Amino acid sequence: MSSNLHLNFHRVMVIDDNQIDKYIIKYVVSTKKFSDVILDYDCADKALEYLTENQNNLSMLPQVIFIDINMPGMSGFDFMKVYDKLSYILKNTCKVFITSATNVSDSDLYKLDDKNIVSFLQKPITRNHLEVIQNLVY
Amino acid sequence: MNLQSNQIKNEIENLTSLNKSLKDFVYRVSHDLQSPLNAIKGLVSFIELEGESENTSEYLGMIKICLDRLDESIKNNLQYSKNNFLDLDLTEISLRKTFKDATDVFFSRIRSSGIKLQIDIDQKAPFFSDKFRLNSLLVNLIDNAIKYQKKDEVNKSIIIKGVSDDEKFRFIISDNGIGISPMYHDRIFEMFFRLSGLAEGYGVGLYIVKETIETLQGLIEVKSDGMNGTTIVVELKNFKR
Repeated sequence: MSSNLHLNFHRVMVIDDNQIDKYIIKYVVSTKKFSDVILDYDCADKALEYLTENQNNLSMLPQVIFIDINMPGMSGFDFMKVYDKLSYILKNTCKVFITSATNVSDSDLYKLDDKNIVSFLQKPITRNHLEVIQNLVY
Repeated sequence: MNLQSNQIKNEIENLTSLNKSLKDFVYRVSHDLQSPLNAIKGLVSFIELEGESENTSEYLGMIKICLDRLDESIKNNLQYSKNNFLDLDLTEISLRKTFKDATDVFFSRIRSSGIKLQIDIDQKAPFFSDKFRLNSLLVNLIDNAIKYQKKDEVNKSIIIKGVSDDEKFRFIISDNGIGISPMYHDRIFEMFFRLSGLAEGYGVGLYIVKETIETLQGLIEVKSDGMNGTTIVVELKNFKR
């Protein structure tokens, strides 16, 4: 039933250095008409630049962010530290989902306990994940 | 009495640290294996969904990349676990032959990318170390020297020079590739560390190198300004009889 709901988002942001994983998320998002626009980033710092620039511009902000944990340079958790300093409007608009191929290691588990993270998703991202997200956000 | 309790304390510390490295190892292996496997699952589900379509060969191409990664990470992990959990196996080593064997593995890649390879090993005394570990170390370092060449460089080169004596064996591997920015020199030996934009590897190669060098009681140093190639300096102990 929920798959028939036409509750799509305007903008979704995908941050993943792994091109194949990113391709998979983009494929699922576009075939499911989950979002009109996909903002696509290979690294967290470039994505943060975009978010910082548009933090008070509601129409430019993504409603959903998928960010991978293991990335060269800035990791997904490093991203969350900076993210917390962004505007209230932004944090209220964007729902962040953190992704990884494996469960989070024991030593990193506490980092998931972050008020800005809606949920952890284990890759590959599927249609079911998107349905869950729609139900969570709407 | 005191001596004995100190020994016990040391032993507990050793075991705790071994336990920690086993945990890290298991986490890393599962991440390395699961990451390409999950991607394959995702891609296969597209093929199931679409049936045969104009995209099928693209999906298959990506599946093949994932399989190569799986293959590579299994080899890496095997190397790593051998280094960590097997005792040192000390034998007399012909250094010139070891370097020849290690570079022969890359013969076709070196030729097809037009790299000029120069090896100059001066062995002044019998050298004793662990042959398997020395080889794994060399293969990792030479692999990097080949992988991170500048694409448009006409005179690609790798120079290997080494001198051994009674005490130690010191060698350098010098390339004129893309280099490593000094700000990363402290971090490149960390597990999973990769330089942005070069997401080819898993970020475990130099981690394995560092661990191997520690086992061989050696030192490693990286020299690079981040533009004009990289020189790796390695010094290994001669475990002479």
